[in-house]
Amino acid sequence: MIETDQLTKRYPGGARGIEEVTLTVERGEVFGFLGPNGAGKTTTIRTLLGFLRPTSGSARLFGLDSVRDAVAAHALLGCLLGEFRFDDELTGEQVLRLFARLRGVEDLSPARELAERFEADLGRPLRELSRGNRQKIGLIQALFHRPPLLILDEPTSGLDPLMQEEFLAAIRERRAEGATVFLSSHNLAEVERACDRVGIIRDGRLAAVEPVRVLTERSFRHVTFTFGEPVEPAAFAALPGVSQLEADGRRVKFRLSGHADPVIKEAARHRVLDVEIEHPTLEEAFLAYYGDGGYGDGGALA
Amino acid sequence: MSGTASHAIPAAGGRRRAPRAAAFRALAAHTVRRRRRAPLAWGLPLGALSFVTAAAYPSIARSNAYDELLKNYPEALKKAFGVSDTALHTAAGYLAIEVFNLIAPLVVGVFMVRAASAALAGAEERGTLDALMSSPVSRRTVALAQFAGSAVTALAICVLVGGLTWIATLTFGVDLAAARAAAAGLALWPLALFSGGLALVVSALTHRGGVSTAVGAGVLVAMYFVEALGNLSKAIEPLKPLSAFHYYGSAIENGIEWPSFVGLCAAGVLLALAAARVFERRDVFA
Repeated sequence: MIETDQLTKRYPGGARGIEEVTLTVERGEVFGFLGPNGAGKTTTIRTLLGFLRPTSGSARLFGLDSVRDAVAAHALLGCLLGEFRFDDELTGEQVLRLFARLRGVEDLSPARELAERFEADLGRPLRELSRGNRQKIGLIQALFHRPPLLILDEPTSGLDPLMQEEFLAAIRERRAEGATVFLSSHNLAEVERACDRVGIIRDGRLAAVEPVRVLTERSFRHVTFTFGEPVEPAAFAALPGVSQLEADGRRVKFRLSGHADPVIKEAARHRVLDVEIEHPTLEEAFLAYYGDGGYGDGGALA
Repeated sequence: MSGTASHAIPAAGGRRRAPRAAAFRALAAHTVRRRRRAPLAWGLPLGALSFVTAAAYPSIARSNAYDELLKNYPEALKKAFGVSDTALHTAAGYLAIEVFNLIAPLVVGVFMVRAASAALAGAEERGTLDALMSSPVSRRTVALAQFAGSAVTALAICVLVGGLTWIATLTFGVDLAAARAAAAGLALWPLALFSGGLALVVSALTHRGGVSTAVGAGVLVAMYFVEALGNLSKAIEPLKPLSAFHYYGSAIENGIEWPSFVGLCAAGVLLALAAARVFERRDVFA
Protein backbone atom coordinates (compact mmCIF):
# COMPACT_ATOMS: atom_id res chain seq x y z
CA MET A 1 0.00 0.00 0.00
CA ILE A 2 2.83 2.32 0.95
CA GLU A 3 6.34 1.53 -0.13
CA THR A 4 9.39 3.68 0.19
CA ASP A 5 12.78 2.69 -1.09
CA GLN A 6 15.86 4.46 0.27
CA LEU A 7 13.71 7.58 0.40
CA THR A 8 15.90 10.61 1.04
CA LYS A 9 14.94 14.25 1.26
CA ARG A 10 17.51 16.90 2.01
CA TYR A 11 16.47 20.53 2.28
CA PRO A 12 18.39 23.16 0.38
CA GLY A 13 18.97 25.25 3.51
CA GLY A 14 20.70 22.33 5.19
CA ALA A 15 17.83 21.63 7.57
CA ARG A 16 17.57 17.95 8.30
CA GLY A 17 15.19 15.94 6.17
CA ILE A 18 15.16 12.18 5.96
CA GLU A 19 17.85 9.72 4.95
CA GLU A 20 17.29 6.39 3.23
CA VAL A 21 13.94 5.55 4.73
CA THR A 22 12.81 2.14 3.50
CA LEU A 23 9.41 1.11 4.71
CA THR A 24 6.43 -0.98 3.67
CA VAL A 25 2.92 -0.62 5.00
CA GLU A 26 0.61 -3.50 4.14
CA ARG A 27 -2.97 -3.24 3.02
CA GLY A 28 -5.38 -3.15 5.95
CA GLU A 29 -2.72 -2.22 8.46
CA VAL A 30 -2.79 0.68 10.91
CA PHE A 31 0.77 1.87 10.94
CA GLY A 32 1.99 4.25 13.59
CA PHE A 33 4.82 6.59 12.75
CA LEU A 34 6.56 7.83 15.83
CA GLY A 35 9.31 10.24 16.53
CA PRO A 36 10.11 13.42 18.37
CA ASN A 37 9.41 16.75 16.72
CA GLY A 38 11.91 17.45 14.00
CA ALA A 39 12.84 13.80 13.50
CA GLY A 40 11.41 13.64 9.99
CA LYS A 41 7.81 12.48 10.40
CA THR A 42 6.32 15.38 8.52
CA THR A 43 9.04 15.32 5.87
CA THR A 44 8.32 11.64 5.24
CA ILE A 45 4.60 12.25 4.93
CA ARG A 46 4.97 15.26 2.66
CA THR A 47 7.28 13.26 0.44
CA LEU A 48 4.78 10.39 0.33
CA LEU A 49 2.15 12.86 -0.84
CA GLY A 50 4.41 14.33 -3.49
CA PHE A 51 4.49 17.77 -1.85
CA LEU A 52 8.23 17.34 -1.56
CA ARG A 53 10.31 15.77 -4.30
CA PRO A 54 12.67 13.08 -3.09
CA THR A 55 16.36 13.96 -3.28
CA SER A 56 16.90 10.28 -4.01
CA GLY A 57 15.03 7.04 -3.60
CA SER A 58 11.33 6.72 -4.25
CA ALA A 59 7.94 6.50 -2.61
CA ARG A 60 4.94 4.63 -4.00
CA LEU A 61 1.33 4.58 -2.88
CA PHE A 62 -0.83 1.86 -4.43
CA GLY A 63 2.17 1.26 -6.64
CA LEU A 64 1.87 4.83 -7.94
CA ASP A 65 4.87 7.12 -7.93
CA SER A 66 4.54 9.86 -5.32
CA VAL A 67 5.50 12.64 -7.71
CA ARG A 68 4.53 11.47 -11.19
CA ASP A 69 1.19 9.90 -10.27
CA ALA A 70 0.27 12.14 -7.35
CA VAL A 71 -3.21 12.96 -8.61
CA ALA A 72 -4.17 9.31 -9.13
CA ALA A 73 -2.80 8.43 -5.69
CA HIS A 74 -4.61 11.31 -4.02
CA ALA A 75 -7.88 10.10 -5.50
CA LEU A 76 -7.48 7.02 -3.31
CA LEU A 77 -6.54 8.63 -0.06
CA GLY A 78 -7.76 11.01 2.57
CA CYS A 79 -5.37 12.99 4.65
CA LEU A 80 -5.08 15.43 7.47
CA LEU A 81 -1.74 17.09 8.07
CA GLY A 82 -1.41 18.57 11.52
CA GLU A 83 -3.74 21.40 12.27
CA PHE A 84 -6.39 21.70 9.56
CA ARG A 85 -6.21 25.05 7.80
CA PHE A 86 -8.24 26.35 4.94
CA ASP A 87 -9.71 29.63 3.75
CA ASP A 88 -11.18 30.60 7.07
CA GLU A 89 -14.04 32.75 5.88
CA LEU A 90 -15.70 29.56 4.63
CA THR A 91 -18.08 27.55 6.74
CA GLY A 92 -17.41 23.88 7.38
CA GLU A 93 -20.17 23.05 4.94
CA GLN A 94 -18.62 25.18 2.19
CA VAL A 95 -15.21 23.63 2.80
CA LEU A 96 -16.60 20.11 2.61
CA ARG A 97 -18.63 20.90 -0.49
CA LEU A 98 -15.51 22.15 -2.28
CA PHE A 99 -13.47 19.09 -1.34
CA ALA A 100 -16.38 16.86 -2.34
CA ARG A 101 -16.59 18.55 -5.74
CA LEU A 102 -12.87 18.16 -6.28
CA ARG A 103 -13.50 14.45 -5.83
CA GLY A 104 -16.52 14.43 -8.10
CA VAL A 105 -18.88 13.86 -5.15
CA GLU A 106 -22.07 15.90 -4.97
CA ASP A 107 -23.74 14.09 -2.09
CA LEU A 108 -22.68 15.57 1.24
CA SER A 109 -24.68 13.23 3.46
CA PRO A 110 -21.72 11.04 4.47
CA ALA A 111 -19.92 14.21 5.55
CA ARG A 112 -22.99 15.34 7.49
CA GLU A 113 -23.17 12.00 9.25
CA LEU A 114 -19.57 12.35 10.33
CA ALA A 115 -20.26 15.90 11.46
CA GLU A 116 -23.07 14.65 13.64
CA ARG A 117 -20.84 12.00 15.10
CA PHE A 118 -17.98 14.39 15.85
CA GLU A 119 -20.43 17.10 16.92
CA ALA A 120 -18.88 19.42 14.36
CA ASP A 121 -20.46 22.77 13.59
CA LEU A 122 -20.72 23.03 9.80
CA GLY A 123 -22.62 26.29 9.81
CA ARG A 124 -19.95 28.63 11.10
CA PRO A 125 -16.91 30.05 9.34
CA LEU A 126 -13.68 28.29 10.25
CA ARG A 127 -12.28 31.43 11.77
CA GLU A 128 -14.99 31.40 14.40
CA LEU A 129 -14.28 27.82 15.40
CA SER A 130 -11.96 26.71 18.19
CA ARG A 131 -8.89 24.80 17.17
CA GLY A 132 -10.50 21.51 18.12
CA ASN A 133 -13.66 22.25 16.18
CA ARG A 134 -11.65 23.22 13.13
CA GLN A 135 -9.77 19.97 13.43
CA LYS A 136 -13.07 18.10 13.28
CA ILE A 137 -13.75 19.66 9.88
CA GLY A 138 -10.33 18.44 8.82
CA LEU A 139 -11.10 14.92 10.01
CA ILE A 140 -14.41 14.87 8.17
CA GLN A 141 -12.63 16.15 5.07
CA ALA A 142 -10.20 13.22 5.32
CA LEU A 143 -12.83 10.57 6.00
CA PHE A 144 -16.03 11.44 4.14
CA HIS A 145 -15.14 9.83 0.82
CA ARG A 146 -14.16 6.56 2.51
CA PRO A 147 -10.69 6.41 1.07
CA PRO A 148 -8.88 3.07 1.12
CA LEU A 149 -5.84 4.88 2.53
CA LEU A 150 -5.71 7.45 5.30
CA ILE A 151 -2.60 9.50 5.91
CA LEU A 152 -2.76 11.40 9.16
CA ASP A 153 -0.06 13.60 10.62
CA GLU A 154 -0.72 14.45 14.27
CA PRO A 155 -4.46 14.42 13.56
CA THR A 156 -5.78 14.72 17.08
CA SER A 157 -3.92 17.88 18.02
CA GLY A 158 -6.33 20.23 19.74
CA LEU A 159 -9.07 17.64 20.22
CA ASP A 160 -10.37 16.97 23.69
CA PRO A 161 -9.88 13.41 24.99
CA LEU A 162 -13.48 12.45 24.30
CA MET A 163 -13.15 13.45 20.67
CA GLN A 164 -9.77 11.76 20.40
CA GLU A 165 -11.51 8.59 21.49
CA GLU A 166 -14.29 9.10 18.96
CA PHE A 167 -11.71 9.68 16.29
CA LEU A 168 -9.77 6.54 17.16
CA ALA A 169 -13.04 4.61 17.01
CA ALA A 170 -13.64 5.99 13.51
CA ILE A 171 -10.17 4.83 12.50
CA ARG A 172 -10.83 1.35 13.85
CA GLU A 173 -14.04 1.22 11.84
CA ARG A 174 -12.27 2.25 8.68
CA ARG A 175 -9.73 -0.43 9.34
CA ALA A 176 -12.47 -3.02 9.86
CA GLU A 177 -13.68 -2.07 6.39
CA GLY A 178 -10.26 -2.84 5.04
CA ALA A 179 -8.70 0.61 4.87
CA THR A 180 -5.03 1.20 5.52
CA VAL A 181 -4.00 3.92 7.93
CA PHE A 182 -0.68 5.71 8.24
CA LEU A 183 -0.77 7.66 11.48
CA SER A 184 2.05 9.85 12.66
CA SER A 185 1.99 10.96 16.23
CA HIS A 186 4.11 11.78 19.19
CA ASN A 187 1.34 10.55 21.44
CA LEU A 188 2.38 7.08 22.54
CA ALA A 189 -0.97 6.26 24.13
CA GLU A 190 -2.80 7.07 20.91
CA VAL A 191 -0.47 4.96 18.84
CA GLU A 192 -0.63 2.12 21.32
CA ARG A 193 -4.39 1.99 21.09
CA ALA A 194 -4.77 2.45 17.36
CA CYS A 195 -1.85 0.80 15.65
CA ASP A 196 -0.68 -2.64 14.66
CA ARG A 197 2.89 -1.74 13.93
CA VAL A 198 5.02 1.28 14.58
CA GLY A 199 7.94 2.77 12.78
CA ILE A 200 10.23 4.95 14.80
CA ILE A 201 12.09 7.74 13.13
CA ARG A 202 14.99 9.47 14.78
CA ASP A 203 17.32 12.07 13.30
CA GLY A 204 15.82 11.51 9.88
CA ARG A 205 16.45 7.79 9.87
CA LEU A 206 14.05 4.96 10.41
CA ALA A 207 15.34 3.52 13.68
CA ALA A 208 13.04 0.53 13.84
CA VAL A 209 9.78 -0.99 12.76
CA GLU A 210 8.09 -3.19 15.34
CA PRO A 211 4.69 -4.52 16.23
CA VAL A 212 3.28 -2.08 18.75
CA ARG A 213 3.19 -4.78 21.43
CA VAL A 214 6.94 -5.11 21.44
CA LEU A 215 7.47 -1.45 22.11
CA THR A 216 4.98 -1.17 24.92
CA GLU A 217 6.05 -4.39 26.64
CA ARG A 218 9.53 -3.02 26.85
CA SER A 219 8.35 0.32 28.11
CA PHE A 220 9.29 1.48 31.59
CA ARG A 221 8.23 3.91 34.33
CA HIS A 222 10.03 6.35 36.56
CA VAL A 223 9.34 5.37 40.18
CA THR A 224 10.12 7.53 43.20
CA PHE A 225 9.47 6.37 46.77
CA THR A 226 9.73 8.64 49.76
CA PHE A 227 10.01 6.67 52.99
CA GLY A 228 9.55 7.59 56.63
CA GLU A 229 13.15 6.59 57.39
CA PRO A 230 16.37 6.01 55.43
CA VAL A 231 16.39 2.70 53.57
CA GLU A 232 19.05 0.48 52.12
CA PRO A 233 18.95 1.12 48.31
CA ALA A 234 20.73 -2.13 47.47
CA ALA A 235 17.60 -4.09 48.29
CA PHE A 236 15.75 -2.21 45.51
CA ALA A 237 18.65 -2.29 43.09
CA ALA A 238 18.66 -6.07 43.28
CA LEU A 239 15.01 -6.39 42.24
CA PRO A 240 14.13 -7.50 38.72
CA GLY A 241 13.35 -4.65 36.29
CA VAL A 242 15.02 -1.95 38.40
CA SER A 243 17.72 0.20 36.86
CA GLN A 244 19.29 3.65 37.11
CA LEU A 245 18.71 3.70 40.82
CA GLU A 246 19.44 6.88 42.75
CA ALA A 247 19.10 6.94 46.51
CA ASP A 248 19.21 9.91 48.81
CA GLY A 249 18.52 8.70 52.34
CA ARG A 250 14.77 8.45 52.55
CA ARG A 251 14.20 8.89 48.82
CA VAL A 252 14.72 6.14 46.28
CA LYS A 253 14.34 6.80 42.61
CA PHE A 254 14.69 4.30 39.76
CA ARG A 255 13.45 3.10 36.42
CA LEU A 256 11.17 0.12 36.50
CA SER A 257 10.37 -2.16 33.62
CA GLY A 258 8.12 -5.18 33.80
CA HIS A 259 5.90 -5.98 36.78
CA ALA A 260 5.69 -3.64 39.73
CA ASP A 261 4.94 -6.40 42.21
CA PRO A 262 8.47 -7.08 43.62
CA VAL A 263 9.08 -3.37 44.07
CA ILE A 264 5.80 -2.81 45.88
CA LYS A 265 6.46 -5.79 48.19
CA GLU A 266 9.91 -4.49 49.03
CA ALA A 267 8.62 -0.97 49.64
CA ALA A 268 5.83 -2.29 51.85
CA ARG A 269 8.42 -3.36 54.40
CA HIS A 270 8.97 0.33 55.13
CA ARG A 271 6.77 3.26 56.01
CA VAL A 272 5.87 4.80 52.63
CA LEU A 273 5.15 8.55 52.74
CA ASP A 274 4.77 9.05 49.06
CA VAL A 275 5.09 7.25 45.78
CA GLU A 276 5.25 8.73 42.31
CA ILE A 277 5.01 6.65 39.17
CA GLU A 278 5.65 8.52 35.95
CA HIS A 279 5.32 7.11 32.48
CA PRO A 280 8.20 7.99 30.25
CA THR A 281 7.83 10.36 27.39
CA LEU A 282 7.74 8.60 24.11
CA GLU A 283 11.18 9.84 23.31
CA GLU A 284 12.58 8.29 26.47
CA ALA A 285 10.75 5.06 25.76
CA PHE A 286 12.29 4.51 22.43
CA LEU A 287 15.63 5.99 23.29
CA ALA A 288 15.73 3.40 26.01
CA TYR A 289 14.67 0.72 23.61
CA TYR A 290 17.07 1.64 20.85
CA GLY A 291 19.69 3.42 22.89
CA ASP A 292 23.18 2.10 23.47
CA GLY A 293 22.71 0.62 26.89
CA GLY A 294 20.19 -1.94 28.04
CA TYR A 295 17.99 -0.87 30.87
CA GLY A 296 15.81 -3.93 31.34
CA ASP A 297 18.50 -6.41 32.35
CA GLY A 298 19.03 -5.12 35.85
CA GLY A 299 22.14 -3.28 34.73
CA ALA A 300 22.60 0.46 34.74
CA LEU A 301 23.13 2.39 31.55
CA ALA A 302 26.72 2.41 30.49
CA MET B 1 -29.17 6.99 10.41
CA SER B 2 -30.00 4.76 7.52
CA GLY B 3 -26.49 3.37 7.32
CA THR B 4 -23.81 4.25 4.89
CA ALA B 5 -24.71 1.62 2.31
CA SER B 6 -27.52 3.76 0.98
CA HIS B 7 -25.18 6.56 0.01
CA ALA B 8 -23.53 6.91 -3.30
CA ILE B 9 -20.06 6.48 -1.93
CA PRO B 10 -17.66 3.78 -2.91
CA ALA B 11 -16.62 1.04 -0.54
CA ALA B 12 -12.99 0.99 0.49
CA GLY B 13 -11.04 0.50 -2.69
CA GLY B 14 -13.19 2.93 -4.61
CA ARG B 15 -11.66 5.91 -6.27
CA ARG B 16 -13.00 9.40 -6.07
CA ARG B 17 -11.82 11.98 -8.50
CA ALA B 18 -13.64 14.66 -10.41
CA PRO B 19 -12.98 14.93 -14.15
CA ARG B 20 -10.23 17.46 -14.72
CA ALA B 21 -12.54 20.13 -16.15
CA ALA B 22 -15.00 19.74 -13.27
CA ALA B 23 -12.22 20.12 -10.71
CA PHE B 24 -10.95 23.19 -12.55
CA ARG B 25 -14.42 24.73 -12.55
CA ALA B 26 -15.00 23.92 -8.89
CA LEU B 27 -11.74 25.52 -7.83
CA ALA B 28 -12.16 28.54 -10.10
CA ALA B 29 -15.70 29.05 -8.80
CA HIS B 30 -14.40 28.73 -5.25
CA THR B 31 -11.82 31.43 -5.98
CA VAL B 32 -14.51 33.76 -7.32
CA ARG B 33 -16.84 33.04 -4.39
CA ARG B 34 -14.29 33.66 -1.70
CA ARG B 35 -13.53 37.06 -3.26
CA ARG B 36 -17.14 37.85 -4.00
CA ARG B 37 -16.82 41.14 -2.17
CA ALA B 38 -13.69 42.17 -4.07
CA PRO B 39 -15.53 43.75 -7.01
CA LEU B 40 -17.14 46.09 -4.52
CA ALA B 41 -14.07 46.58 -2.35
CA TRP B 42 -11.80 47.35 -5.33
CA GLY B 43 -14.16 48.36 -8.11
CA LEU B 44 -16.37 50.66 -6.11
CA PRO B 45 -13.70 53.09 -4.86
CA LEU B 46 -12.03 53.15 -8.25
CA GLY B 47 -15.37 53.49 -10.03
CA ALA B 48 -16.33 56.22 -7.60
CA LEU B 49 -13.15 58.11 -8.38
CA SER B 50 -13.94 57.88 -12.07
CA PHE B 51 -17.56 58.83 -11.39
CA VAL B 52 -16.63 61.94 -9.41
CA THR B 53 -13.98 62.90 -11.95
CA ALA B 54 -16.48 62.60 -14.80
CA ALA B 55 -19.08 64.50 -12.78
CA ALA B 56 -16.66 67.34 -12.17
CA TYR B 57 -15.58 67.63 -15.79
CA PRO B 58 -18.39 69.89 -17.12
CA SER B 59 -17.64 72.62 -14.59
CA ILE B 60 -13.90 72.29 -15.18
CA ALA B 61 -14.43 72.54 -18.94
CA ARG B 62 -16.29 75.79 -18.43
CA SER B 63 -13.43 77.38 -16.57
CA ASN B 64 -10.00 77.82 -18.07
CA ALA B 65 -8.23 77.22 -14.81
CA TYR B 66 -6.74 73.91 -15.88
CA ASP B 67 -5.59 75.26 -19.19
CA GLU B 68 -3.61 77.89 -17.35
CA LEU B 69 -2.24 75.32 -14.99
CA LEU B 70 -1.24 73.00 -17.80
CA LYS B 71 0.57 75.74 -19.70
CA ASN B 72 2.87 76.23 -16.73
CA TYR B 73 3.66 72.54 -16.39
CA PRO B 74 7.18 71.52 -17.38
CA GLU B 75 7.24 70.25 -20.92
CA ALA B 76 9.08 67.08 -19.83
CA LEU B 77 6.41 66.15 -17.35
CA LYS B 78 3.66 66.56 -19.89
CA LYS B 79 5.60 64.45 -22.33
CA ALA B 80 6.23 61.74 -19.78
CA PHE B 81 2.60 61.40 -18.90
CA GLY B 82 1.40 61.76 -22.46
CA VAL B 83 -0.48 64.94 -21.76
CA SER B 84 -1.10 67.27 -24.67
CA ASP B 85 -2.09 70.89 -24.20
CA THR B 86 -5.50 70.07 -25.57
CA ALA B 87 -5.99 66.98 -23.41
CA LEU B 88 -8.24 68.82 -21.04
CA HIS B 89 -10.48 69.98 -23.82
CA THR B 90 -12.18 66.59 -23.88
CA ALA B 91 -13.82 64.59 -21.13
CA ALA B 92 -11.94 61.53 -22.31
CA GLY B 93 -8.59 63.27 -22.05
CA TYR B 94 -9.41 64.56 -18.60
CA LEU B 95 -10.50 61.13 -17.34
CA ALA B 96 -7.42 59.54 -18.88
CA ILE B 97 -5.11 61.88 -17.01
CA GLU B 98 -6.97 61.76 -13.73
CA VAL B 99 -7.97 58.08 -13.59
CA PHE B 100 -7.22 55.73 -16.45
CA ASN B 101 -3.57 56.42 -17.32
CA LEU B 102 -2.09 55.55 -13.96
CA ILE B 103 -4.33 54.93 -11.00
CA ALA B 104 -6.84 52.55 -12.53
CA PRO B 105 -4.35 50.16 -14.17
CA LEU B 106 -2.24 50.11 -11.02
CA VAL B 107 -5.22 49.35 -8.79
CA VAL B 108 -6.51 46.56 -11.00
CA GLY B 109 -2.96 45.27 -11.49
CA VAL B 110 -2.28 45.23 -7.77
CA PHE B 111 -5.54 43.37 -7.18
CA MET B 112 -4.35 40.59 -9.48
CA VAL B 113 -0.84 40.64 -8.02
CA ARG B 114 -2.30 40.07 -4.58
CA ALA B 115 -4.68 37.38 -5.76
CA ALA B 116 -1.94 35.49 -7.61
CA SER B 117 0.44 35.82 -4.68
CA ALA B 118 -2.18 34.46 -2.31
CA ALA B 119 -2.98 31.54 -4.63
CA LEU B 120 0.33 29.69 -4.22
CA ALA B 121 3.01 31.31 -2.06
CA GLY B 122 0.52 32.95 0.30
CA ALA B 123 -1.54 29.78 0.65
CA GLU B 124 1.60 27.78 1.32
CA GLU B 125 2.64 30.26 3.99
CA ARG B 126 -0.78 30.17 5.64
CA GLY B 127 -0.88 26.38 5.42
CA THR B 128 -4.08 26.31 3.39
CA LEU B 129 -2.44 24.79 0.33
CA ASP B 130 -2.01 21.34 1.89
CA ALA B 131 -5.69 20.50 1.94
CA LEU B 132 -6.06 21.53 -1.69
CA MET B 133 -2.99 19.66 -2.83
CA SER B 134 -3.96 16.44 -1.09
CA SER B 135 -7.12 16.43 -3.19
CA PRO B 136 -6.96 14.64 -6.52
CA VAL B 137 -6.19 17.87 -8.34
CA SER B 138 -3.00 18.52 -10.26
CA ARG B 139 -0.73 21.35 -9.27
CA ARG B 140 -1.37 22.81 -12.69
CA THR B 141 -5.07 22.99 -11.90
CA VAL B 142 -4.36 24.45 -8.46
CA ALA B 143 -2.40 27.26 -10.11
CA LEU B 144 -4.47 27.88 -13.22
CA ALA B 145 -7.96 27.52 -11.77
CA GLN B 146 -7.18 30.09 -9.11
CA PHE B 147 -5.71 32.36 -11.77
CA ALA B 148 -8.84 31.98 -13.89
CA GLY B 149 -11.11 32.66 -10.90
CA SER B 150 -9.15 35.79 -10.02
CA ALA B 151 -9.32 36.93 -13.64
CA VAL B 152 -13.11 36.70 -13.50
CA THR B 153 -13.16 38.84 -10.37
CA ALA B 154 -10.81 41.33 -12.03
CA LEU B 155 -13.17 41.50 -15.00
CA ALA B 156 -16.02 42.32 -12.63
CA ILE B 157 -13.93 45.15 -11.19
CA CYS B 158 -13.21 46.47 -14.68
CA VAL B 159 -16.88 46.29 -15.65
CA LEU B 160 -17.88 48.11 -12.49
CA VAL B 161 -15.35 50.89 -13.18
CA GLY B 162 -16.50 51.24 -16.79
CA GLY B 163 -20.14 51.11 -15.73
CA LEU B 164 -19.83 53.79 -13.08
CA THR B 165 -17.97 56.01 -15.53
CA TRP B 166 -20.76 55.53 -18.05
CA ILE B 167 -23.47 56.30 -15.46
CA ALA B 168 -21.64 59.51 -14.53
CA THR B 169 -21.50 60.63 -18.16
CA LEU B 170 -25.24 60.05 -18.49
CA THR B 171 -26.11 61.72 -15.21
CA PHE B 172 -23.98 64.80 -15.63
CA GLY B 173 -24.25 65.23 -19.38
CA VAL B 174 -20.58 64.56 -20.00
CA ASP B 175 -19.63 64.36 -23.65
CA LEU B 176 -18.27 60.83 -23.68
CA ALA B 177 -19.64 57.95 -25.75
CA ALA B 178 -20.95 55.00 -23.76
CA ALA B 179 -18.70 52.72 -25.80
CA ARG B 180 -15.65 54.71 -24.70
CA ALA B 181 -16.59 54.48 -21.05
CA ALA B 182 -17.02 50.74 -21.44
CA ALA B 183 -13.75 50.48 -23.35
CA ALA B 184 -11.92 52.35 -20.60
CA GLY B 185 -13.07 49.76 -18.04
CA LEU B 186 -12.49 46.76 -20.28
CA ALA B 187 -9.03 47.88 -21.35
CA LEU B 188 -7.90 47.51 -17.75
CA TRP B 189 -8.43 43.77 -17.92
CA PRO B 190 -5.46 42.73 -20.12
CA LEU B 191 -3.17 44.62 -17.80
CA ALA B 192 -4.76 42.80 -14.87
CA LEU B 193 -4.17 39.44 -16.57
CA PHE B 194 -0.59 40.33 -17.30
CA SER B 195 0.04 41.49 -13.71
CA GLY B 196 -1.59 38.32 -12.41
CA GLY B 197 0.44 36.07 -14.68
CA LEU B 198 3.63 37.82 -13.66
CA ALA B 199 2.84 37.56 -9.96
CA LEU B 200 1.82 33.92 -10.37
CA VAL B 201 5.31 33.14 -11.65
CA VAL B 202 6.82 34.78 -8.57
CA SER B 203 4.22 33.07 -6.40
CA ALA B 204 5.24 29.72 -7.90
CA LEU B 205 8.93 30.43 -7.29
CA THR B 206 8.86 31.78 -3.78
CA HIS B 207 7.38 30.40 -0.58
CA ARG B 208 6.23 33.68 0.87
CA GLY B 209 3.15 35.61 -0.21
CA GLY B 210 4.59 38.94 0.89
CA VAL B 211 7.65 38.49 -1.31
CA SER B 212 5.46 37.62 -4.26
CA THR B 213 3.22 40.64 -3.75
CA ALA B 214 6.16 42.99 -3.32
CA VAL B 215 8.01 41.72 -6.39
CA GLY B 216 4.87 41.65 -8.53
CA ALA B 217 3.77 45.15 -7.55
CA GLY B 218 7.36 46.41 -7.83
CA VAL B 219 7.71 45.12 -11.38
CA LEU B 220 4.35 46.64 -12.28
CA VAL B 221 5.37 50.07 -11.02
CA ALA B 222 8.77 49.76 -12.68
CA MET B 223 7.05 48.99 -15.96
CA TYR B 224 4.94 52.09 -15.57
CA PHE B 225 8.04 54.22 -15.11
CA VAL B 226 9.82 52.59 -18.05
CA GLU B 227 6.91 53.62 -20.25
CA ALA B 228 6.65 57.12 -18.76
CA LEU B 229 10.36 57.88 -18.70
CA GLY B 230 10.85 56.21 -22.07
CA ASN B 231 9.03 59.20 -23.48
CA LEU B 232 11.78 61.44 -22.09
CA SER B 233 14.98 59.50 -22.11
CA LYS B 234 16.69 58.10 -25.18
CA ALA B 235 18.42 55.58 -22.91
CA ILE B 236 15.18 54.15 -21.60
CA GLU B 237 13.21 54.40 -24.80
CA PRO B 238 14.36 51.05 -26.25
CA LEU B 239 13.02 49.32 -23.12
CA LYS B 240 9.49 50.56 -23.68
CA PRO B 241 8.32 47.48 -25.61
CA LEU B 242 9.16 45.42 -22.49
CA SER B 243 6.65 47.33 -20.43
CA ALA B 244 3.07 46.12 -20.29
CA PHE B 245 1.98 49.75 -20.14
CA HIS B 246 3.39 50.21 -23.62
CA TYR B 247 0.46 48.12 -24.86
CA TYR B 248 -2.12 49.57 -22.54
CA GLY B 249 -2.81 52.66 -24.65
CA SER B 250 -5.64 55.00 -23.76
CA ALA B 251 -8.90 53.27 -24.58
CA ILE B 252 -11.03 56.09 -23.24
CA GLU B 253 -9.56 58.45 -25.84
CA ASN B 254 -8.84 56.11 -28.73
CA GLY B 255 -10.97 53.05 -28.14
CA ILE B 256 -9.53 49.61 -27.57
CA GLU B 257 -6.55 48.68 -29.71
CA TRP B 258 -7.42 45.04 -30.21
CA PRO B 259 -4.00 43.67 -31.22
CA SER B 260 -2.49 45.09 -28.03
CA PHE B 261 -5.51 43.97 -26.02
CA VAL B 262 -5.26 40.39 -27.25
CA GLY B 263 -1.47 40.38 -27.06
CA LEU B 264 -1.41 41.50 -23.44
CA CYS B 265 -4.07 38.93 -22.50
CA ALA B 266 -2.06 36.23 -24.25
CA ALA B 267 1.11 37.28 -22.46
CA GLY B 268 -0.74 37.05 -19.13
CA VAL B 269 -2.02 33.57 -19.91
CA LEU B 270 1.41 32.43 -21.10
CA LEU B 271 2.97 33.70 -17.89
CA ALA B 272 0.34 31.79 -15.90
CA LEU B 273 1.10 28.62 -17.86
CA ALA B 274 4.79 29.12 -17.17
CA ALA B 275 3.98 29.63 -13.49
CA ALA B 276 2.08 26.33 -13.45
CA ARG B 277 5.14 24.54 -14.84
CA VAL B 278 7.39 26.13 -12.25
CA PHE B 279 4.95 25.20 -9.52
CA GLU B 280 4.78 21.59 -10.69
CA ARG B 281 8.50 21.24 -10.11
CA ARG B 282 8.94 22.72 -6.69
CA ASP B 283 8.62 21.61 -3.09
CA VAL B 284 5.65 22.73 -1.05
CA PHE B 285 6.63 23.17 2.56
CA ALA B 286 4.58 22.85 5.69
